[in-house]
Amino acid sequence: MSTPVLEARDVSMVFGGLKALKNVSLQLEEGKILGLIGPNGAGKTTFFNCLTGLYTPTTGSVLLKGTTLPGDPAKVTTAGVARTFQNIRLFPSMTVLENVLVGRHVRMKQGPLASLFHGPAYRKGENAAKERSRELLEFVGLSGLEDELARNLPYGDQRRLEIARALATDPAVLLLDEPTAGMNPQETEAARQLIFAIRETGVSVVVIEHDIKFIFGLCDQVSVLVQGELLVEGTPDVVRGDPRVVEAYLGKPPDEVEAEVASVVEEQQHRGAQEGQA
Amino acid sequence: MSILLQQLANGVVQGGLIALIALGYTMVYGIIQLINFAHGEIFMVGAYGSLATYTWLLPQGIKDSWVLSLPLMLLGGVVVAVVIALIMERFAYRPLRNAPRLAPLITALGISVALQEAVRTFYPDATSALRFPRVFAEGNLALGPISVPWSGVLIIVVSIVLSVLLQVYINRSRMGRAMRATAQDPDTAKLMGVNPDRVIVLTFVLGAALAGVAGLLYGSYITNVNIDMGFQTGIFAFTAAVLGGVGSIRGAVIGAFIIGLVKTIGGQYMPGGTQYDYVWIFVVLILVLVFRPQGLFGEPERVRA
Repeated sequence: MSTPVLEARDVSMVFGGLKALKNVSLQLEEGKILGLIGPNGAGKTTFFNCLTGLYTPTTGSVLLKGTTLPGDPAKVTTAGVARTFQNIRLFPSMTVLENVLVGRHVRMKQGPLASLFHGPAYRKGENAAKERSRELLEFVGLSGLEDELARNLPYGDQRRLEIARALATDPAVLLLDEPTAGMNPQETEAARQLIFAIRETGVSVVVIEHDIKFIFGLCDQVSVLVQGELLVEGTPDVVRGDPRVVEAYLGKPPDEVEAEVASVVEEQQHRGAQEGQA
Repeated sequence: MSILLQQLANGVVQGGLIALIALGYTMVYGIIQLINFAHGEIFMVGAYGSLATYTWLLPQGIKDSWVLSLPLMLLGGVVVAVVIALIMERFAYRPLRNAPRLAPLITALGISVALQEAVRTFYPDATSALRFPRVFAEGNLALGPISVPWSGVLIIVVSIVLSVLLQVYINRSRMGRAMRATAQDPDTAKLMGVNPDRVIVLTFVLGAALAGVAGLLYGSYITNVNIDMGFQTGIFAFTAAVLGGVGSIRGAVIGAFIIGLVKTIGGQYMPGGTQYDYVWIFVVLILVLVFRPQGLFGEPERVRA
């Protein structure tokens, strides 16, 4: 088997006394879409934070194309892992185009002095970055809005802009944290088409989502995380049929009540852990 | 009438000088939410740096021609200001990056006193005001009833040119965008590959370089320097930054010109004369803070999630 583009090896994350992740191992093959599902508080976002270097895993490591990723978000981005956020985090007072250009930052060379003297090489680099950013805006369907301030965009467009900004870093892997949260069915379908289009460009994708139907209609592989442990992984059909998943996550109606309970329990444990620390 | 025009001209000169310093306050605040009270002292050491360059480094032949000595003194002053600012950032502020806001603020006051005392102790004869050499064209620019020394004209031109350049740099360049991104959301900027340390260092360097330029211009306009100059002018610059909306480049410059004009006009026409010019400046500041706490061009403080 070829080297997976992104691999997590036995990643554990402990906050005080709470084990948020327990030996999670995952492999993402190049050009695939991997879905990560699980109840609230299962550790999905924590796992993303470990992948992007925001958290340093207590044990275990993350590898991009076989090379261990550094524990520094800026370096992880440079290496080729980009992400979006569950709660949108654009630069609100910058224009749409500028937001994408900030994503382009790591692929530009101009240092602080070069920009002072505006030489031809500098202009060339700046123009190339702008051109690429405009392409990406067109790709996500935001062309014509480039001079709008990010905070004035409607919600769905802000999500698209976050994706364009992440793509501007030329990632090998794109991590999407609940890309369809708060979207209506049409917007959700548009998001699904966009993620397919991203895969077409050769970028591998990991998606966290609550919307199970969305995940099963989108992903090549699905992993189920429950209370920090990887419960099941496989193709959507395998995962859908697995009795443990049905039991732990899907089956028992009303599943949301259960998810709620799980998250409350985890929160209490977390609080307990913090108090223990203090 | 001619007195009014003359005082307006003087106010614009003062405003230009204050603007160059206010930019440093406002940029550092924008990036790390620190009011760097030691910034006035960076301006002061910049002036002493230029003076030292003149006194000890320049040969007599160069001293005689301001065309040669001015750029060299400028270089000396800017280098000294930038080096001191870099040391200050690295050893005083960086270790306190995640400390409560009050800690770096108190540290800034401490550095301010330390720098004044260091210059007083180690710079020869700095216990009293030192004469600053004439380093620009002699005489005055006469425009009808107004007469402005050429060194004052230089202040106006340089401050406006540098403010515009700074604004363009921050809006158009790669590192400028990184600065704004860091100011708006440091964590996300980091995730976009922006190195926060580099941005913060660049911010201090730009602020200090402008303060260094201001130090030389102050010396050549006032014709003497003393160790209190940073504190006095720093207060005006800080007030200008708050008036314009701290964090805003345009606000700092416009605030500075307002302060400069209030100072000269108030000193001329209000009871008490120049002794009371501070009073009018702070009256303006208080009015702004009461009616528009975010300053003229500032954004209302956002609560971050």
